[in-house]
Amino acid sequence: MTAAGQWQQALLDAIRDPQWQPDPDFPAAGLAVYRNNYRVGLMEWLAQLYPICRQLLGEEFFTALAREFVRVTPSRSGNLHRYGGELAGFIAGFAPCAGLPYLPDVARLEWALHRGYYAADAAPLAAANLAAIDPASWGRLRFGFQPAACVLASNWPLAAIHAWHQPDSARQPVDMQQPQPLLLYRDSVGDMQLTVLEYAAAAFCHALYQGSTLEQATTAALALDSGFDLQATLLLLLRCGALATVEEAS
Amino acid sequence: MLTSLPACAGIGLRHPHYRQVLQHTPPLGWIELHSENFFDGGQPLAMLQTLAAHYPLSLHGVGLGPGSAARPQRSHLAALRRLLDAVPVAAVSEHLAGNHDAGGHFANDLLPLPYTQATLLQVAANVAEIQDAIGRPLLLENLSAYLHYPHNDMSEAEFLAELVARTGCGILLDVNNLYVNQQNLSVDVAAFLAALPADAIGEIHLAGYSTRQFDDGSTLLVDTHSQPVYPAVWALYRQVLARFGPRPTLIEWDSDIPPLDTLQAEAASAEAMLQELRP
Repeated sequence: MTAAGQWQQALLDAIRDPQWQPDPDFPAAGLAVYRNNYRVGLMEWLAQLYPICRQLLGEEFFTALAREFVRVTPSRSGNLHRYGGELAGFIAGFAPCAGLPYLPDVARLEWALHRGYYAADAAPLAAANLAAIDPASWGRLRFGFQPAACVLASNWPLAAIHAWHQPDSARQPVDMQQPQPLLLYRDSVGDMQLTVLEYAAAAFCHALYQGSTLEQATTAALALDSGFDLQATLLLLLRCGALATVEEAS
Repeated sequence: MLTSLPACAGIGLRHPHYRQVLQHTPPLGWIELHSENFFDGGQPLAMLQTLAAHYPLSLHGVGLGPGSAARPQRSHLAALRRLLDAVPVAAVSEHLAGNHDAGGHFANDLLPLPYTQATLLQVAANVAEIQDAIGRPLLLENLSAYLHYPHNDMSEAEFLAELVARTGCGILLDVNNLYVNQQNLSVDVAAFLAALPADAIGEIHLAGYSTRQFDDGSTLLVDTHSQPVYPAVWALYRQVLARFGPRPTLIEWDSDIPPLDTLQAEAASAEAMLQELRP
């Protein structure tokens, strides 16, 4: 590496690691500006990305969490929008958050809402596409979801927690014993929507989302609830445009 | 052609004003938005397409870091290309700054780079790769820097001029950045302007800085885009216009963003100075 290249690398390393003893080539005040920009920039981004986590923790706690997350989580993209997806996993292992067992799922929800809002557009799968397929082969079908859609399995009342923290919320009491697995999708104007799935339907949608065939997903749902309504659940997925592609598994 | 922006004043359009501008489409010469906020689809992309139907649009990237010692990130370049395929855009710009290494570690910031012959080879290759990917020339913006490589072979302006000659890129001249560097790093403004090829200046930026005090008693001007354009920067802008002639000029404001009226008033001040040059 050339001397110039080494200088560029040392600058990046010194900015990312505030413990690094500054090279005499780097004036302290200048380096301080870049170090501050780096840390504060990522922390402010996280605060914007995770408004519900921030409200649940309070500003001071959230700032401490964000500072620690930024310290151990390097940025891997020039696009700030890609930063911060690992916060849920980080919270799960962060001892000061141990008293808030639902917080990792709330963070997963907020990340999914962010990614979904900006995700690429894709034409929704129409019921007619499905009707054109020989019913004898339906069991082997696999579905691709919209880039904006996802299924979140959770043991916590995510939709109620989300609703409670909206600016215009009526603040209905939240029953923390009520699991609310979710289907997330983007509606026709581009807003993200949350639909609470019933227990067996959640297992079905989650299996499809993970790449199971229609038969495998149906079997999983029926094992939980013999009254599982396959037709209604498939219609729900089609109606909200959560599906994008269908193919027959080989 | 480097840009099809009109040689009048425009504003940087940011989130707090999206709704107002979409609803009332006020008269704005042109608008500039940050490219990365419109990767990949959904409402943001749809909004950009609507805006493009009303205003000449400039896309300003903050994330490719063509001044890095490593190639541009492929996925980022592909996303930019998809965006340009989806929206009619009059100008595309980035900063002559570094932000990543070959290991894929990023600082989401605009870092200074060494202005040496060796760096020039890498950066020219980066710029050429970006221009090939997007199928059009890129405008490169001069940087506000808070430290610099101690063994430079040339000035930033000479480096930019070399990039123009080697890649056919254009220059986005940020007058506030130039002023900040004059104050922080004693950059010679007259020599800087003299070194830039006039034909390559595709766009001008104006903004406000902040002053930061340090424990050791030193001060730095920081390019915060959080203030009106300072009188000294307006004066430098006149000097720039006298040398290069009228160019599309942007009012940039990114934090503590004021009402749209304030941005329009700043743009009107720039427009008045542009008007003086017109026959």
